[in-house]
Amino acid sequence: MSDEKKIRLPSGIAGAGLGDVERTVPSDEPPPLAPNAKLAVLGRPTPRIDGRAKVTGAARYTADVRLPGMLFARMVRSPLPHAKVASIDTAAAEAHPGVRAVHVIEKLLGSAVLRDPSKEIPSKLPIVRYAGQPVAAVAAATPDAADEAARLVKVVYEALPFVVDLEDARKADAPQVFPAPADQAGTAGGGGGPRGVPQVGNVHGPVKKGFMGPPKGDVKQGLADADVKVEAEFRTQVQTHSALETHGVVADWRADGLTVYASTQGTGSVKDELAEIFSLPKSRVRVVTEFMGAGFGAKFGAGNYGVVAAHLSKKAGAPVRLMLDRREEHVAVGNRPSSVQKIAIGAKKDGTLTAISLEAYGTAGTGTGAGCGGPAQNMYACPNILTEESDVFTNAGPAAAFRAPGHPQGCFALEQAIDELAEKLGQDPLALRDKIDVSQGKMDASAARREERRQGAERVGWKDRRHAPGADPGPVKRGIGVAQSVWYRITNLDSACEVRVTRDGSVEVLSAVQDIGGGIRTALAQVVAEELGLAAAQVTVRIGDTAFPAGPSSGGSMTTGSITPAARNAAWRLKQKLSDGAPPGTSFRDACRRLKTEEIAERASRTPEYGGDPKARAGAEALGGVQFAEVAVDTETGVIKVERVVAAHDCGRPFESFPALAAAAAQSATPQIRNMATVGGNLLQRPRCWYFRSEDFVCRKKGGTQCYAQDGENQYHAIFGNDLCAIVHPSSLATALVAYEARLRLVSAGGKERDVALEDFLTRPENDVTRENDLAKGELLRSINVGVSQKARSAYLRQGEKESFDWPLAEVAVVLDLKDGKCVHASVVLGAAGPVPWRAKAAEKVLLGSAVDDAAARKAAKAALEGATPLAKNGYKLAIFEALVRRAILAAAAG
Amino acid sequence: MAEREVEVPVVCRFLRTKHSFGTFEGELVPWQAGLSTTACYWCLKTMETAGPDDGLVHAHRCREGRSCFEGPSA
Repeated sequence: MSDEKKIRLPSGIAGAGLGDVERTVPSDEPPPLAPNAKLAVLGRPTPRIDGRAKVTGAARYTADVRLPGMLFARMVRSPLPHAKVASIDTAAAEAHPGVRAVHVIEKLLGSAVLRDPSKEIPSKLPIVRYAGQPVAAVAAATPDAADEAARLVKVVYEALPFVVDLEDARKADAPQVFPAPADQAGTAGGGGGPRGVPQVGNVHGPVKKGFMGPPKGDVKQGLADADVKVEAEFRTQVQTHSALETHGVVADWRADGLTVYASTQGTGSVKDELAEIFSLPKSRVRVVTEFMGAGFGAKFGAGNYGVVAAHLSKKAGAPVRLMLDRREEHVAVGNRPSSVQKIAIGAKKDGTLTAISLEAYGTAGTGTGAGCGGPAQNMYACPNILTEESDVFTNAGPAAAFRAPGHPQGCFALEQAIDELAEKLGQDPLALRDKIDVSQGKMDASAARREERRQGAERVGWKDRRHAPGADPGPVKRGIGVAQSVWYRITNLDSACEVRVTRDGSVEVLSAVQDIGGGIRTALAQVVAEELGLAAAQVTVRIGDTAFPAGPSSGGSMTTGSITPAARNAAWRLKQKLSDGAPPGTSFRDACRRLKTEEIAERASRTPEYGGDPKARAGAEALGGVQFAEVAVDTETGVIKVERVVAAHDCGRPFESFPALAAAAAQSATPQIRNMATVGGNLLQRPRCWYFRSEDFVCRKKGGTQCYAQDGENQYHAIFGNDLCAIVHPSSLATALVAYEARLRLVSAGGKERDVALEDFLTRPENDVTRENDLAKGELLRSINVGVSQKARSAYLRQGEKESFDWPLAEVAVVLDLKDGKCVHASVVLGAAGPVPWRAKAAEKVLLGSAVDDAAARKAAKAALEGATPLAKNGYKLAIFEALVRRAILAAAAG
Repeated sequence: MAEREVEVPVVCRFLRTKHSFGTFEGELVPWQAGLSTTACYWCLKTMETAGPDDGLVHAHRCREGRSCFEGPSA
């Protein structure tokens, strides 16, 4: 065909067998992109073009949108997990002076009946199937008025039996989440859905087909043929999403159409759904996502909140803001399903796999999506593979996609089973994977993983660091492990870009694609700048608005791969237009000046992959990743530390190089420490207790009558002196300074000075539960003097969940003065232990007058915990403190 | 380079899944077949995992014959 041409494209892995392939492409296709080394912008350090806007707060996220006359909405949610809504009385809410609209979520089709009427739950309003399901909403002039009005909506529920436990839900007599008859799958679809997907009770499945692979072969036979078998069960828990910005919208219903500002991963998907629901032409629905605070798969479509906000806006005749709160985020808008995976793997003595069998079930609440068989189906070459995946319905919020749906769970089980197989075979886990992770034809990432294993092993020091379990001397044992993954190349052909150039040399890129934090703005600027010979900062990128050409949704790792080819095609065609008739060597700026019109523009879409084989298209490919981790376990305290991680992943063509990332990381933290913090502020800071910090709890420290931590979430609270208030003093500096017997000099507003020991200045709750120190009104902390002698030896040790930027779980400061080998002075102070830095007098007594050796340190460490009164969830601190005190004493003694 | 013909099952126009917002190119099974075990579905009529008839929403079930089924718009 004359409108096509043949080109050769690079294919393979750079540095490990890069070849090329021939492809037939449209005649106006740009030439293949040169390697990064020959490019000026792509692959170079490029600051995020929206970085300044984001760090200065100028970037407008959905949560920041404020429109004139905007109302605030609040959902009314069911407190019951399974119920029929008998009635909803909105009269009191409507009478609230701040309220402008009330919306009851109604069944849209009232006349529908189930095929088996005896199973139907007759109800005018939707049946509630999980606690947190929305039933109504209000819009009011202020957030407080909306909260008040929501509480005035009177809902009468008729409770129904419910089940929330995965194993209970599988039982034959479990309450039914859906009244649908067990045989509905066989009759649904006017001829039935795919056979072999039954539903019995709450169990939907098993599905035995992979959507692009097994079942294949005969697993029973494969297991029978095996020399070695591994059988194991693995479980993963439900995991909720927690994007920094919650789900939410501002909906603005006008006579000429609906505009919705949405925190979404797919502006197009929100537009599509709202147009369908409200029977509007898509041209009358505009969705804007200038900036959004992340999404991990759960932010697709309009959501209940989006539809409700649009209804409220229509009723009230004003824009309506409905952002979910953090609780709603966890209960109602998606989670990663749990999994229980029974896996059996058979292999020959040399490691060759003979069978992979996976029987898995999990709960996606009221939804589906708990499958996790992808890795078992698609990672290793094996002649016999069978995966059986079931959803178990429970009365809990429905699942949503969550970062490579099903695959983290699947890899968690499969990769541990492969490690167990390696151990049974007496093979190195890496060597075994080299043997079994080999090409299976299509959807094949084995070559990439082979190279990733090679490079990763080299960087993590696999050969040198691997040793027999428990071989480390001392209490800290280390181990190193490897696991790998599979994912797929997904593209979205609804990906278009317009590139405009104006006579003054300005360049604009327009697309509806949204940035979920991955940096697509900068990537688009780079691609267009590369083509036009400009710097990325010279390109203005306008995205996140469905008024622009359609953009891809951001999920499945497809944003950059879908939209940047469209941008490049548009820029390339524009460049042809600019150079048309211009003398060779004409600069971009001069070419713009020669334009006959003020502006020229090109619009291009993502083209399909140009595969050589029509059956195995180039687009249908797998991606691989391999990760290594070295983990240390302190066998005395139980503290686990991940010490080293090496991750090697397919990433396509890197658009940025690492220096920018490194620079950003290096710059991000220091201003807080250098410019904001003071020593005085550190010593005088209020406690971190979450009940104290939460406005919902009026605890003793805030004038209430109760310490909520004592019977609540007290894992980070005090193990000493906690009978009145269970805070721990938040200052690590204070712990060390008390050990040094520091004294403070304070000056009053009238100029009067006083000198006080820090230990006395920091006061216990018994003194005044609302305060943590003795600072008088108008008094200033002028200086701190360290009391102990210069000869004193000291040590400070801490244990936290993170190495930095976190409060410690336990910390110990020890100051010792030794004379003739004997201890003549000892300060042993525990931090994160009590409401003040906790001086362990009993430990000090043990040390005084004795030689400081291992036995004395052990005895003192035990004594340090005398009188401890741990709460229900912080008993774990005792073991940590005992180890830290002993180690700190020995470290101080060693000088 | 004609697109390979793949039979796409007819599902209710109000059925949605994340899969409809991204596709594998080529010969892979379309999302409407409902073979993905990791797909979550919702109904645009109720915005929940149950349809207007209180039954489960799924590509296998939201097909012609169900009482609340609505075919593709003309």
